[in-house]
This record gives sequence, C-alpha cells and structure tokens, in this order.
Amino acid sequence: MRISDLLASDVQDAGGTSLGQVRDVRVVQDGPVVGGVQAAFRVDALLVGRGTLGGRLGYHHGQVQGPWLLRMLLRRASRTVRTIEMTQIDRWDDEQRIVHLR
Amino acid sequence: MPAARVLYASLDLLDRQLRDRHGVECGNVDDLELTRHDDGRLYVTAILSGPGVLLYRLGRRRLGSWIQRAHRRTGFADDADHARVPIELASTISASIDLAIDRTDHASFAGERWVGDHIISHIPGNDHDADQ
Repeated sequence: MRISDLLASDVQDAGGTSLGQVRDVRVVQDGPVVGGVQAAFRVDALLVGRGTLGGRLGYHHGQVQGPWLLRMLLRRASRTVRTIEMTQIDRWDDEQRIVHLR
Repeated sequence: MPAARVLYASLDLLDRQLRDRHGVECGNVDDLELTRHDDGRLYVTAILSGPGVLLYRLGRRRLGSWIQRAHRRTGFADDADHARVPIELASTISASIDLAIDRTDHASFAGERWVGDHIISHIPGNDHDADQ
C-alpha cells in the first residue's frame, strides 16, 4: 500500500459521518531499527479536514512562524483540521479509500 | 533519550529532491510505500520514484501502474523494482533526501540507459568522450 492511497481517503466516524479527507500523515521515527542504521518511520496520525493551504506551507505544524499576518490568517483557516491518532482508527478500506474510526 | 523525529509526509517528504551517493540529483519523492508490521502498526518502508509513480499518486492509478510495469520490463535487465528505494537507504532527510545508491541504479535513469544501449551505442564513434 502507498501513502497516496491514504492521503486521498475519506475519514468517517463510527456512525458513518464524513469528517473530511486525509490531508497529511504524521510519521514518527520511533519504530524498530531497520537495516541496522536507523529507526523505522511509524505512521502516527492523520490530519483530516479542510484548510490545507496552511498545512502545505508549514503554518499548521508550527514549522513556519512568519510573517505574523500570514500565520494568523492561515492558522485561522486551518482551524477545522483535526488530528486523528492511529489508535482511533478501526479499519482502512484502501479499495474504497475510506478510513473508519472506532 | 532524545525525542523521536516527527515528520509530515506531504510537507517534509513528498516531492523532495532525491540525490544519489555522489550528490547528483536523481528524481523526486513521488510516493511512499507503507507496510503493516506484525504489531499491527503501519511503517514507511520505501521511497517510490520514477515513471508512473506520480501518475498513480495523482489519481491515475491504472495508467500509473501500467507505466511502472512497462518501464520495469524495458529499463533494466533484472526484475528488481528500481523505482523502490528502501527507506533505510535515505541517509539524510532535509530540504533534499540523500540516498545511498548510484543514480544509474535508479528507475529515473532507465530512459537514459535505454537510449545509450539501443541508439547511442550504434552510432560510429560512440566510444569517444564528449570533450575529445
């Protein structure tokens, strides 16, 4: 499977209500050591919702801080983006591209 | 113990420039391969890059897969998937991603290799260097 399959997926809560599409995937390098050189990157969380411009430019994640006016506007626009931990996911139908939450 | 490194796939990995072990540019990160381990968790196991991979990511899944298969058969003599670079071979991940491979072993070089083998090699005097 590919991360592009995950990025295009719709996320639905336990009742089948859509929460939006997966906009980004957070990975954490804390997995088992691979190849004897570095820890594996574990898929940790999905960023779901609208207002992706702030995320694409690095404002939503806090990596870009300025200029402040742009920061305020883009952070405000990405308020609807929510972080879904992988532990909250019940199953992922990669054929239908739907992520079902618990 | 230092905190684990946190990256965002779209922001920090996808579309980043790939460089080979000599620092030569050899493509971009078109997609990432995910594998579910025995513990049930998903891990990023490879960087995917080369003809067809970006098309697949952009929604042309069937056409992208077909181009990848066709390219795999014509580009290299072996059956290995040269569009797939194991993530452990990414020595540095920053503005660009440094790989511990040679450019000539990567799928993005296959077209150049094919032209060299099938066209350039048949031109008289092809064994001379360009500056001679």
